Amino acid sequence: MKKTINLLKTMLKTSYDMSGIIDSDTKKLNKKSIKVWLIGIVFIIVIYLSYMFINLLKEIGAPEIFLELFFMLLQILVMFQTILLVISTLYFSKDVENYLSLPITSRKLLITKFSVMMSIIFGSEIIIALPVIFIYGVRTLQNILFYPLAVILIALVSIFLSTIVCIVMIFVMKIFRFIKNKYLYQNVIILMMTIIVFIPLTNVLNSSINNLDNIEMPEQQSYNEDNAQDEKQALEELSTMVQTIRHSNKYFIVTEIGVKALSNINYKSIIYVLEILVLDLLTLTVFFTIGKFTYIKDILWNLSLFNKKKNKKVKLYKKCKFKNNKYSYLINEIKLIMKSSTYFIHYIYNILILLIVITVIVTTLFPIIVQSIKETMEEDIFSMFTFGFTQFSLIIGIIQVIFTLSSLSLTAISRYGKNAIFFKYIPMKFNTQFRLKNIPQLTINTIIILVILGIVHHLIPAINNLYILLMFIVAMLLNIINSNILLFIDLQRPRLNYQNEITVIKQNDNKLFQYILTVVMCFIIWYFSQITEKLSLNISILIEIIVLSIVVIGMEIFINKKSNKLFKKII
Amino acid sequence: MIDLINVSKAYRENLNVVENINVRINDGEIFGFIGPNGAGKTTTIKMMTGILDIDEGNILIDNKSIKKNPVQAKKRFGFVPDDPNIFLKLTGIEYLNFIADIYEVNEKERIDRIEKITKEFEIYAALEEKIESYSHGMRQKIIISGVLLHNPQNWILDEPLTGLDPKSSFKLKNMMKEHAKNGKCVFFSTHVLEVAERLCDRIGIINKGKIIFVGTYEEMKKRFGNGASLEELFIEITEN
Repeated sequence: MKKTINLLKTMLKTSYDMSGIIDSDTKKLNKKSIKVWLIGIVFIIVIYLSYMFINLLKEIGAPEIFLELFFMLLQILVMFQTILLVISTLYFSKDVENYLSLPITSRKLLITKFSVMMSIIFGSEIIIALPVIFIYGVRTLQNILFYPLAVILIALVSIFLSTIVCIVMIFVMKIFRFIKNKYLYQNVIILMMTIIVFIPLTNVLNSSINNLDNIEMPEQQSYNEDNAQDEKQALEELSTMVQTIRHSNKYFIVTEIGVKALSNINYKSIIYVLEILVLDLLTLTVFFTIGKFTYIKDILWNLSLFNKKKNKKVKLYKKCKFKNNKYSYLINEIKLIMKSSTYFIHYIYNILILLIVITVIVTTLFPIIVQSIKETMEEDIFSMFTFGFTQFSLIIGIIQVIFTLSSLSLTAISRYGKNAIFFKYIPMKFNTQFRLKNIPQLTINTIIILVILGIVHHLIPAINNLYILLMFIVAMLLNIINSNILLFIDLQRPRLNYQNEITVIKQNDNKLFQYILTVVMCFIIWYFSQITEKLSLNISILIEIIVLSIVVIGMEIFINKKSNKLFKKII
Repeated sequence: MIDLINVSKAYRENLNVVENINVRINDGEIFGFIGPNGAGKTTTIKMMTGILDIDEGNILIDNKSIKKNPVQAKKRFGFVPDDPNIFLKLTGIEYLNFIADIYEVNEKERIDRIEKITKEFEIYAALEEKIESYSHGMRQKIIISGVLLHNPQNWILDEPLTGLDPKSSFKLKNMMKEHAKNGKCVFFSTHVLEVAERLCDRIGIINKGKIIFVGTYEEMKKRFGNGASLEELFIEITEN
């Protein structure tokens, strides 16, 4: 036991990079660190949004829906985080090789690695989940016991969900062993895990939604009836929505128990906690027992996969095809992103998953919400829908916010570390290199634009195709401006001392500038909608396109003239 | 031919790290650039290759100014940096093919050269593997192969022998001699004085940003003392 604790202490020290967060001299929180400020900002935003949401639910008289939603979202968050962490912490972490030579059993190593992973999950829950549930407790005047119970429950639910994901992972890893390429292997496993974990969730949601359709709705009231009856009907609609979520949560044992334990604090809550505890112990026993026999073997397999020599005969005539140097440069940029599981997951995979989730949720849930609003409201508010510049700007604003998730241009130079000097001694103009380096970011942002506009077109067919096209033009101009600014930032503040790929993403304080950029862009979009309020929609859009085009042209002139200076800091 | 004309560089005002360097490396010559740590070797090489801006003076590569005509000048040299950990995610063959595309080497030439060079360095069998699985020496070899692949007129090599096994080191030295023999120019920095002594036609010694000697080993011996080894001469020159 002592050995395991000592091992855990060492792993925690080496796993966490507290540089920047904790001042090494004073051992206190480093108030000058951008990371500390970022955590603070996220913390405040989460508190503010949950406060507003709980207030809204109170106003419509359905605060109980909050716990249902909370546990459902917690479940998604924990499972997704575990999928990513189980790969990077448990099976493909760099330090694991160092522990293999030590006299540690497979089970002990697995317990400590799992604890490290859970500590990371708990860390994010402290920032995201705890403030939300505490706000709920305060706003709904919960018993004092509610708070410690909530903390224990969140921890126990997370342990259960993570353990289940880990158990599934052991088997998935074995199934896909025929893939001999380490990076393809990692990406396939992540993809399969996402499918295995999230397809049942989507199915449950769909079946709940279908059940909702089958629930007998009260007959539509005539417009002449009094308001009391309308309110009654609205409440009925709301209660069926709560039922839907409850119905979904029923399929996930622990979340249902969690909701029951916190919705009414009494002696039964303790029993519910004990129930989850028993489930945790059961799943953990299963996981550690299987892991005892397989964990070290799996790690050794992964290491051999990494070091495996192919002894493949080189087919020079096939491989050595002449390509244009610009095309080759671009292909190389893309290859290096796709071949690194870290960059692929953080810069491409997360965006694609998010777009799929948004598409699925919006296309399945939105028609039901529209239907239920239509049935509740006196008038068909959707037939009264008018498309103006405010709506136009809102859609553009949403696209701009989603842009923030991808930072390909923000690390276009930093990704290469010290070797970024390569780009300075090759015979290719800097302005050409600047444009080629921006293409991956421009492409991923274009996919975002196409998906969001596709959803908009599908959901609101009333919007004329011409406006969809104009939205595409404005969004593409914003895309160019965003990508250029991100690359300017990376060129002006290149971070060339990263030790590995994950630090390029985790320790990149330039990310703060991307958040600021999004806030500024959203403000500009909003400001446009305000100053052009009295103008017609077409004129407003035209002005916006002209202004953005001038900015883009200005940037292009700057890049052409000052490209040498832009690359100056790569030395 | 590489021509450094009154080259100066200061990272801070009035604090030159390289001061008024004047050196011409002629075609058909192997030029060894030696100096203690922090003397200005890397800064000079970075200016020659366009990685660092030149504050004063000019550098000409085959009469093309790296300052005014950088793309043309960069086409005239091949550079081996001191850190070979580059493009680790690419396989050896992907890296060489990429370099061949960048320097516009035609298909037939690149196939012939890749085969010849990589077989000579004994990395041919590993070409289908990722560079990250290579040892330090193999990484060094693949970078050197990338330079040899486009057969530039001038070689600029920063510590090229570090990490190479004796056989590969011997081969590279022979390649350098061969390159010079063909009327081309080799400029390399090294800490191994023995190599400089045996291999170089001329030696340049830099200390505290200033070139304190340029000439042959014989000339150095005449000037600073007969009978002494290059190591002894180097210590004497740089300390006094």
